[in-house]
Amino acid sequence: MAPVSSAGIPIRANRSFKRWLSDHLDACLDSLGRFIFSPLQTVITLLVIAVALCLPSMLYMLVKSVESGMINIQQSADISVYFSPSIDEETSLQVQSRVLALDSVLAARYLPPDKALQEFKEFSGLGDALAELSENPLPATLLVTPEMNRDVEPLIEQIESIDGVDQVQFDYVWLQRLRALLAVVDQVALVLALLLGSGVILILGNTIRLEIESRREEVAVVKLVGGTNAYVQRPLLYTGVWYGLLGALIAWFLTNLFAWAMSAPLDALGQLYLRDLSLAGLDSMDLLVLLGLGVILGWLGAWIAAARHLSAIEPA
Amino acid sequence: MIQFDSVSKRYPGGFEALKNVSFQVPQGEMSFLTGHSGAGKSTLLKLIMLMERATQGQVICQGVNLAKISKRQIPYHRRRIGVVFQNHSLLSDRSVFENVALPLLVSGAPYQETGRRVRAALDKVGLLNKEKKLPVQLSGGEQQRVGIARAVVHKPDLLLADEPTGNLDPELSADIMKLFADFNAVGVTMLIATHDVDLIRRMDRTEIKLDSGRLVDF
Repeated sequence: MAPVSSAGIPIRANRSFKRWLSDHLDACLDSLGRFIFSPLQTVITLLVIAVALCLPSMLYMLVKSVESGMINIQQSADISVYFSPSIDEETSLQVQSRVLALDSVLAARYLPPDKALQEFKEFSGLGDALAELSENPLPATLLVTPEMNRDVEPLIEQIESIDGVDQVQFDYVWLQRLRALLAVVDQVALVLALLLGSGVILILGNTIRLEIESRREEVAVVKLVGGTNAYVQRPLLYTGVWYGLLGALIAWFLTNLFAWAMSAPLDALGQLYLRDLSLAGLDSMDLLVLLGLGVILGWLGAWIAAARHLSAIEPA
Repeated sequence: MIQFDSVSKRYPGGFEALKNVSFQVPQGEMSFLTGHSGAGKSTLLKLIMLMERATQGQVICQGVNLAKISKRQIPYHRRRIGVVFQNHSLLSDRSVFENVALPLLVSGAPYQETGRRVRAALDKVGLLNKEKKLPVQLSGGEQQRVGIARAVVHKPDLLLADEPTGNLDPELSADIMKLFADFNAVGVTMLIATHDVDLIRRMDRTEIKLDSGRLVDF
């Protein structure tokens, strides 16, 4: 028996779990089936939702790709130690072993002047111009690889204090700038996600409002023959969930399409910078998160619209 | 079955649709609610359906004081009542069968039972062969009978009707009334709002007459 209030009216439905499940399945499939009644409207709404979800996920993908690339960048971010021109090779090698003995140094590779010139020719693309030089302008160089994620400034000071070291160079600033830039992009992605997420809720709220409007008569009749608010709401909430889910799926597809479209130009760009540049597409975990977000936003938009507009339909 | 004790209903804005109305409809009775349009017939039915609440006095229906029914319980109250509307309020995109099945569907009745009961109700109103049709494919009289089948499909012991013959010619009206009398004969309590005076005289039933919200004859 269903629980009965003091007034002798059941408070809630007396449904079996199986029936509950079949009611939900009905509402779920029915709301999906209704899409074919207004295909154009449905497709447009889905695309709007997909585009709204697409922008933050593209930014997220960008940040993720650059961050994973940063590990390589940092690994190759060696400290260049230039020796005074007067120093001979033996002294240089002594300096090398002193540097190697320092804390937080992983490796120190000695480059004699001619080798340094050769590498510079290869990487700078100035080979022809350099060939014109009668004399090698480059000093001997020591390429020091610091341990990752350690503060390199004390290390640089230590190396600078070693006799025979002329200059220590570390492209540290640009790395910091890149990090700061990424933090900004990250934040932008978050703000965009919040804004566009609210946009999705509003779009769906409006779509569901129109749906309620077109089913006004049906809602009134269902209520009069004893349909509960839950019964009236159920197909609307499923409609919202479907919109969110399908919109997220399209957004995932568009984002990966974008990653694919960017792969060729990024390859070309990467070759110029001698770096392996690529956008890491959204993986299955990201897809799950995106779909989950779509479902939550869709449900929320539909729920808000249902709560606001269903009560306006007679009878209460 | 239905009892009104000094019931008044004032709508927001000040219009007083019912003024100090008291009457009762005993169990198993078939009563008519009459009066010119705007006399308060619809408001009275709305109070029983809890589409509106009384501003004063109390309404007791099927032994329950309606003031004590919370908003969440209203659907369960409505499931114990059958209603027939003047405009029959059928859903145009659903078949006759689906329209009649609606009260069973929303209350979660078992599916096997649904088909049996819907056909029994359609059989009673003589439309068993039209179950697959859409409402627009039926005549006005047939549509009203579908509305009646929907009102009785869940076997309520109280049936309300708001101008059920308002749009029908006298012959069809008589058919509908005959149908109502049949339901009443098997124990369903009925309250029928109508302004079809001829019909009531022929039926010789209790008349509850309203005029400008006041009870003038009971």
